[in-house]
Amino acid sequence: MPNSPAGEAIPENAEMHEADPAFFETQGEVLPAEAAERLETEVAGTERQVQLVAHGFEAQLKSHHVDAITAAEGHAVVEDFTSQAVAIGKETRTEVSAVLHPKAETSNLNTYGDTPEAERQADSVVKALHDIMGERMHESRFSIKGGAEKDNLSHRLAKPGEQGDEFVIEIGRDTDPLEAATRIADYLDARSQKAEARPADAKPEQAPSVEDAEKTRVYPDHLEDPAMKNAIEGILAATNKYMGEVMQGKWGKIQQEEAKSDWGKAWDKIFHLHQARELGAFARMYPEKATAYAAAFEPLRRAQEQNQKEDEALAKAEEAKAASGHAAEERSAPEPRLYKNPAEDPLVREVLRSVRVRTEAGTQDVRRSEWRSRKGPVRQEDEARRIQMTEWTKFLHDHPEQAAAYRSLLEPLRKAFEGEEAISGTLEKAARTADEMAAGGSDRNAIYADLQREAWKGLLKAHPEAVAAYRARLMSAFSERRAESAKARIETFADSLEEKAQAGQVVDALHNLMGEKLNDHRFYIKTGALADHMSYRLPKPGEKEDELVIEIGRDTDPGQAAAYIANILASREPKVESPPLDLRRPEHKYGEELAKAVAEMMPDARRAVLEKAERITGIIREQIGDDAYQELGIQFRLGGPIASLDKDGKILVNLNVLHIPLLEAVARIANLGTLVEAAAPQEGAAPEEDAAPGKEESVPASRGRVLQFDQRNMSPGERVPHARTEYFDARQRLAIGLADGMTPLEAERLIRDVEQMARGAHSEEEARGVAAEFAENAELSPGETTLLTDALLARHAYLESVRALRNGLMATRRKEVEAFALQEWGYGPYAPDDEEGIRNYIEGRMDHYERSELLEKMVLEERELVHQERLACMPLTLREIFHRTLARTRQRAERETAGAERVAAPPDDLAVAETLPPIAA
Amino acid sequence: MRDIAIDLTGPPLNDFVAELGLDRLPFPEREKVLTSIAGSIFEGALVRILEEMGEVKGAALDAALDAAPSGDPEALVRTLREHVPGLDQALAEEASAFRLDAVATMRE
Repeated sequence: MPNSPAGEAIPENAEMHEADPAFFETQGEVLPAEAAERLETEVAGTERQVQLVAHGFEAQLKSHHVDAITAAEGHAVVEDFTSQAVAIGKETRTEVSAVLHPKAETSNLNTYGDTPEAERQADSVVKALHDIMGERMHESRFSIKGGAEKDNLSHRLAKPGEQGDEFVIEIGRDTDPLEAATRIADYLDARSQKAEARPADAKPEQAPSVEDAEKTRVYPDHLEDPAMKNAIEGILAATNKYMGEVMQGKWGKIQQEEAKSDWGKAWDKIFHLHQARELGAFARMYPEKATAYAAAFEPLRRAQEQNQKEDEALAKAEEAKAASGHAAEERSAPEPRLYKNPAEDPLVREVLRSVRVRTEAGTQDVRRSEWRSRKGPVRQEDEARRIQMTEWTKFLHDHPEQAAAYRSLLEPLRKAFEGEEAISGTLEKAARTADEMAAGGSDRNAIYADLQREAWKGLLKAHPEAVAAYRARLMSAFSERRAESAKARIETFADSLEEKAQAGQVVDALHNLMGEKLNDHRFYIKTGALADHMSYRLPKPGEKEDELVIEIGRDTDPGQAAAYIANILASREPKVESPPLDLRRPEHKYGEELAKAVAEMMPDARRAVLEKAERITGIIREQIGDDAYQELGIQFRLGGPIASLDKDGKILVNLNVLHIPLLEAVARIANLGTLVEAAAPQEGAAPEEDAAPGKEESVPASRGRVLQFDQRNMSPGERVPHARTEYFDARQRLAIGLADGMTPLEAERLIRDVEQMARGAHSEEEARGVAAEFAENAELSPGETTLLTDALLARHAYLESVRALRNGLMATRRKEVEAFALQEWGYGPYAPDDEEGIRNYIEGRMDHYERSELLEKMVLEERELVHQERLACMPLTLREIFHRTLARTRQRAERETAGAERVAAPPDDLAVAETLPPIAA
Repeated sequence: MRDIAIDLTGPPLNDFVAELGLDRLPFPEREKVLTSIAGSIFEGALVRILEEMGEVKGAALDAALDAAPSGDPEALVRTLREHVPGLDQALAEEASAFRLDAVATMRE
C-alpha cells in the first residue's frame, strides 16, 4: 500500500490493486485472450483508483490538514503521488503484457525517422496500430521509419546492422497515419496467419469440432452468416470510432479540416480502409466462406485478391532474403570499415581519383574556350573547386558513416559538410518561418519562395561550390523526373465535371491533330475562363512548372482549342517542320498531306480551311494567271513562318495563314515576290551578274510574274492593309537582320530612331537618302543597309496608301458636305446669298473631318503599330502585365464614364454644326 | 483603335485640343479622338515603363495591382504611382512625343 510523501496513510475505503505475480502464474494456463481481458480490466481499475485516492487525499489535505501544510505544498504532494500512481499502473501494465506475451519480451518495435517530424509521424502510426491490434502488434519484430517520399508505404527486410529487426516499414511524409496503421495491421495479420498455418499443416488431423463446422458453413445469404455479420458490425464500429476521433482532431488538423469540409467523403475513406482490413481478415479466417460469398460480395473478392498479392510478395521477399543471405555467406565480402588514415580507405581513394579525372577533363574544356581571356585561370580554378565539391558531397551522401568519421581529417569533406549543413539548415528555417506565417493566414508558397530567394543569396556568397553542387544535383533529379513524365506531359486543371470533360475533349482532339508529336511538348491546360476565351502564357509563381499554360473558356469549342494549341506549339518549335504540301499535284487538289491534315481537323475548321485556301489560291491565280501559278508552286505545310522561301526558291505557306484575314494572307505570299525580285537578275544588269549561275538557277522565271501581282486594281481601302503588311514584314526582316549584334529591344529602338528621322521624307528618294545617311553614321553592313532601305521604302508606301485613303475619304465627304450645304442653305441662321459663309462652312467642316481622319488613320494607327512591335520584343510576362493593366484601366474608364455626368454643351460655334444630320461615311 | 480613357482634362491633353485644331470638332467626335489619343499615350508610357522595369519589378507591379481594391479607380492609380515613380513623367513625355508626331503629320 503506497503512502503519501507526507506520511499520511491512504484511506481504507480507497482500495488499490497491485499487480500480483502469483496471480499471473495461476492465470498463465487459461486462454490468453481471456486472461488479457481480465488483467487489462484490473490494471485500468487500479490506475483509476489510484487517481481517485489521490483526489481523495487532496480533499483531505484541504479539509483537515490545511493548517499544517500550505495549499501549494499540498498540490505538489498530490501531483507527486499521482505521478507515482500512474507510473505504478504503467509498470503493472507492462508486467501483465510480459506475462501474457512471452514473445513480446523480445519485441523490438522501434520508430525512427530522419527528422523530428518523421519520428513524430512514425509514433502516431504506432499509436494507431496499437489501437487497431492491441498487444498483438508486439508479436512481430519490426521498425517503422518515417520521412519517406510523398504518401509512400512499403515494407522491406531489415538491412544488415539495422536495428536487428526482421523487417522495416517505411512511411511517406504525406501518408495518413490511420491508413498506414490499417495497412500495417493487415500485413501483420497476414504474416501471423501464414506463420500459424505452417505448423498446423504438420499436426495430425482431428475430428472437426462444432466450431470448426461453423467455420466452414456457407449460408445462402452471406448477410445472414453470423461471422459476416460480426465482420460488418466490426467495420461500422471501427469506422464510427475513428471518424469521431478524426472530427475531434486526434489525427491532425488536415484530416480534421477535410472531414469537416466533406464528412461523407472522409467517412467513406475510413470505411473502405476498415472494410478492406476486416474482410481481408475474414477471408483468411474463413477461406471457404470467402470463396462462396465472393461472387455476391464484391469487396470480399477484392480483399481475397489483396491477400493473395500480399502472400506472394511476402514469399518473394523471404526467398530473396534467404538467397541474399546465402550469397552473402558465400561471398563473405568484407564490410566497409573505417581507417585511421582516410587515405588508405578505398572509398576515399576512389573519390580522389574521380576528382582528378573530372578536374582534368573539366578544366581542359574551360581552357579551350577561355584561353585567350585573362580570366581563364580563375575560371579553371572555379571549375576545379566545383568538381571537388560535387564529388565529396556525393561521398557524404553515399557513405555517411565514413564521411562522419573522416570529417575533421579531410578538408574538402569538411567543406562539403558545412555547405550541406548550411543549405539544409537555411531551407528548413525558411520552411519553418513560412509555416509559421502561413498559420497566421499568409500565402505559404509565396513567403517560402521569397525566403528561399533571400536565403540563396547568402548561401551563394558563403558556399558557392556547395550551392553549385546542390544545383547540379537538383537539375539531375529534375531531368530524371522529366524523363519519367515524358509520356504524360499534358496536365489539366478543372474545377467541375463539365470542365474536366471539356479538357479531355481538347486533349483527344490534340492527339488526333498532332499524334505522337504531342509528346514533344509540355504544357498545362487550365479551364474555366470566361466565354470562349483562348490564351496562353508562362506559368506564374506557385503554378505547375510546365512550359506553357493554356487557358480556355467554358464555352470554348474543344476542336477550336485544339487547333489553337497545335498552332502555338508549332510556332514554338520552328526546327520541327512537316514536309511541304505540294498544291500542284493533280491527284489531290491541295496535296495529299494537306488533305490528310485537313481531314483530321474538326468539320468546321476543315470547311473554313478549304474555303480560305481556295480563295487565296484563286486570288493569286487571277493575279498572275494559271500557267504562272502552276509554275509558282505554292506549298502549304504545318509550322514554320507564315510565308517563306525554301532553298529552291519555292514559296512555303504555313497553314496559320488560314487564320489571318484573306488579303493579308495574299499580301504576305505576294511579299515574297519582292524578296525574289531583289534576288532576280534585272534587265540591263551587269554581264558578270548575269553570268552568276547559282543565282539564275536558284530563281525560277516564274518569280518575275509573281511580281505582276497588281496592286493597282485594289481599292484604297484594300491597299492600306496590304501596304501595312509589307511594312511590317520589312520591319521584321530588318529587326532580324540587326539581331545579330544587338538585343531585340536595342534593334527596336534603333528602328524607331531611324523612323523618326524618316518622318520628313516625302518621296522614295528621300527615304533612300535617310537610310543611306543613317547606315553610314551607324556603320551598318551592306546587308543591313539594304534591309533598312527596304523597311523605309515600305513605310513610305504604307503612309502613301493611308494618305490616298484619306484623300479619297475627304473627296467623298466634301461632295457630301457641299451637297448638304447647297441643299439646306437658306434655312436657319444663314442667308441664301452668303456665298462666303457657305464656303467657310464647307471648309471648316472639311477641316474638322480631315483632322480627325488624319489623326485616327495615320497618327494613332501608326503609334498603335509601334506599340505592338515594341510589345512583341517583350518577355511574355511583361506582355501579360501590359494587357492586364490596360484591361484594368479600361474598366476604370468605363466605370468613370458610366458614373460621370456628361460635360456641358459644346461652344456656340459648334452648336450649329451639331444640328446637322450625320453624314454617311 | 482602342478606347481607353485617362484623365482628359489634365494639362498635357488640354493643349492638344487647340494645337491640333480639334477645338472646332463637334463635341462627340472631339471626345472620341481625345479618348483614342489618351489611350495611345497611356499604352506608349506603359510599354516604356515595363521595358525599363524588367520582369521582376513588372511581376511585383502586377501583384500589387492584383491586390489593389478592384472597385476603386483611385486606388489603382495610387498603386501605379507607388510602383512606378516615373509614371507622370513618362505620361508627359509620351504626350509630348505624340504632339510632335501629330503636328508633323498634319503639316506634311
